[in-house]
Amino acid sequence: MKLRCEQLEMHFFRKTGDANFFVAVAPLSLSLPEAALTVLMGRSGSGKTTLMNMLSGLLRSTSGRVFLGEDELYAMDDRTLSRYRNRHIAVIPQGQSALPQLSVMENVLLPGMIYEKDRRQDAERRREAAEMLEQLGLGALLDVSPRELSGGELRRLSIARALLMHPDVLCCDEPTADLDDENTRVVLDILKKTAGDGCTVFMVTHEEDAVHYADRLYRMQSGQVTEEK
Amino acid sequence: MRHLSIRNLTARPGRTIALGLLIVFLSMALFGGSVMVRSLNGGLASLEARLGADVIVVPSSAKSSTNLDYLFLQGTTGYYYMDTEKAQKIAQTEGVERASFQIFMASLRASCCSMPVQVIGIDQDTDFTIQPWIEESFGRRLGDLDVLVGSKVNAGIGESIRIYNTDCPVVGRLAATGTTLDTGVFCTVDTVRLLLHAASELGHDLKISGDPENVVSAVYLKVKDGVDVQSVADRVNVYVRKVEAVRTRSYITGIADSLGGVEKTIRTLIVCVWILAFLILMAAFTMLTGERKKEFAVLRVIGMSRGKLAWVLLKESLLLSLFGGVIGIVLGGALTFSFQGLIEEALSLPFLMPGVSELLLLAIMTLVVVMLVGPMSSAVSAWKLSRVDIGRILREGI
Ligand SMILES: Nc1ncnc2c1ncn2[C@@H]1O[C@H](COP(=O)(O)OP(=O)(O)OP(=O)(O)O)[C@@H](O)[C@H]1O
Ligand SMILES: [Mg+2]
Repeated sequence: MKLRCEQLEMHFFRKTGDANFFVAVAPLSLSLPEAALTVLMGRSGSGKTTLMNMLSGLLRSTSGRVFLGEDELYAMDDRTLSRYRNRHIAVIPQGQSALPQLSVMENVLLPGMIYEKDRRQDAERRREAAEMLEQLGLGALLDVSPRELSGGELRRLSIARALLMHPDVLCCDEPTADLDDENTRVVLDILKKTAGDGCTVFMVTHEEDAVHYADRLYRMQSGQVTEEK
Repeated sequence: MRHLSIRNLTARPGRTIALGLLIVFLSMALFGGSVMVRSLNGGLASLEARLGADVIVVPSSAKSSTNLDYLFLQGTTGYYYMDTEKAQKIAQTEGVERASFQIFMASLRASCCSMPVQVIGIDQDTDFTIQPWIEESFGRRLGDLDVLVGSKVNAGIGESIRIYNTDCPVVGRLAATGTTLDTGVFCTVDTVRLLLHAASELGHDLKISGDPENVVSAVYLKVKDGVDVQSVADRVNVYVRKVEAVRTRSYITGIADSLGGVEKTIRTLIVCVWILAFLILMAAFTMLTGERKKEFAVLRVIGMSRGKLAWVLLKESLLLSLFGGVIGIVLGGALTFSFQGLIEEALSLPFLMPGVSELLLLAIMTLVVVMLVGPMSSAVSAWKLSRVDIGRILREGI
């Protein structure tokens, strides 16, 4: 599904110069096509994470609207939107995001279990999850606690969790930060492949290599977005 | 994972145990305290029922009020006797509806007796104070030498108790009353007289002035409806010499007063424990919110709604309250039960544990209150956590 925003804008209350608010994202209209990897690059503090959070339904904007297909995200109440996000939008947040009280396997199964009460699919889900973790090189770590994982392994765990949600939109915030070249390539390949499978993939990154993978490329500077490719 | 709450609890055993202990303490205080209050009330009620008489008359040598205490609360009646004639005169006092007498003696800690007990002889034809209780528990008339034992006397049916070298078969055990009647042995007046004879034959001086056949220890009076009890007591005190008539009402009121005081103290303690525990719990839950913000931001990211998030937290506190509550009830019950005797002695008030069904009811009530208060104390933190600003927390890096 196509993800698009109209006049999306974000202010934070903070005294800067004459204004008593700070513009993190200037009014922006954007359309992210499906089956494509869209990359957003920019310096630290330029507003990338803020924009991504707004696009993925995690952060209500100051003004403007976000649509996934025909559905307007922020017109929904929290319950509906949460469920909608669980179904259609996967987010890989910046940093590590595994729950330490659950095993690696349980972590990746968790999103599918929040609303799905049908236990008959458990076996099928587990099989699929095991396959996915195997692909991402975590096959031997299914039952360990995320506490025992390295940074790269944790990142791959987040990716596995997101992909198993079979989302229409996948938003990743610097998924390759602090990964070595080998791991970076693995992750970028997966994202590219996911896009190829029809998903709308949106990636925020510093990684210049990502340029080669991008179907579309945007650059962000002080809340302003410009299209580059 | 369908049991995320359980996993959250088991993953941090230290935190869970600390919170759980607090709840155990809470429910222990509530349950133990309630059982104590109920037991004291039960003791009073049972004492009141046992003391079916309005006026008790004893020889003035018995120093009546202290002996009443002895009789009902501390277990030594001592020896005091008056002539049967006097008893008859007392029974004929104007305004008296029913009268009955009892005769007391005590066995010794000596080779002639199997144990030191209070022996209380009742006149089965006229008795109205102990008889109803005997009927409840035994339901027949006593024969010569037959004895009934109070619930705390260590002798079973079919065994016999030896008193001044006389073997008295135990024919029944009486229901607990929470008073010192529970340590007494009951038989007919004739039996006591027989035992008195046996005692004097063994050379014990029982300080009976006159024939044992011709004495009683106390006269119990029931006053006619509409007649002032005090005036009957006064009349006895004026017209019959060397006896003292005591209103049981004033005695019971005295006990009820001190009971009220004790009860108030217990209630105040319970309330204090609760306020304190509630505040500590709330502080503990709130302190944990900071630590758990990131965890809940992650749950929000993967699509958990605020409501579901709050429910996960609520379930955690419900589970804690359920287990803590049950353990607390068991501990509280066990403590009150095993320290029953000590409590009774320390307070010197009648103490009668409620029956199983009432205990069960108290336990359920305690559990309900604990399971309301536990989640309530976590409500603030649940609300805070469910409102976490996901955007901000994600920016801070998880
Ligand atoms: N909740 C907030 N309150 C105040 N200011 C905020 C808030 N969230 C973001 N900002 C500000 O908005 C600007 C953009 O932040 P954002 O996190 O989007 O940057 P970024 O491009 O993702 O940076 P990085 O590459 O370091 O992750 C920053 O200057 C930040 O201080
Ligand atoms: Mg960022």
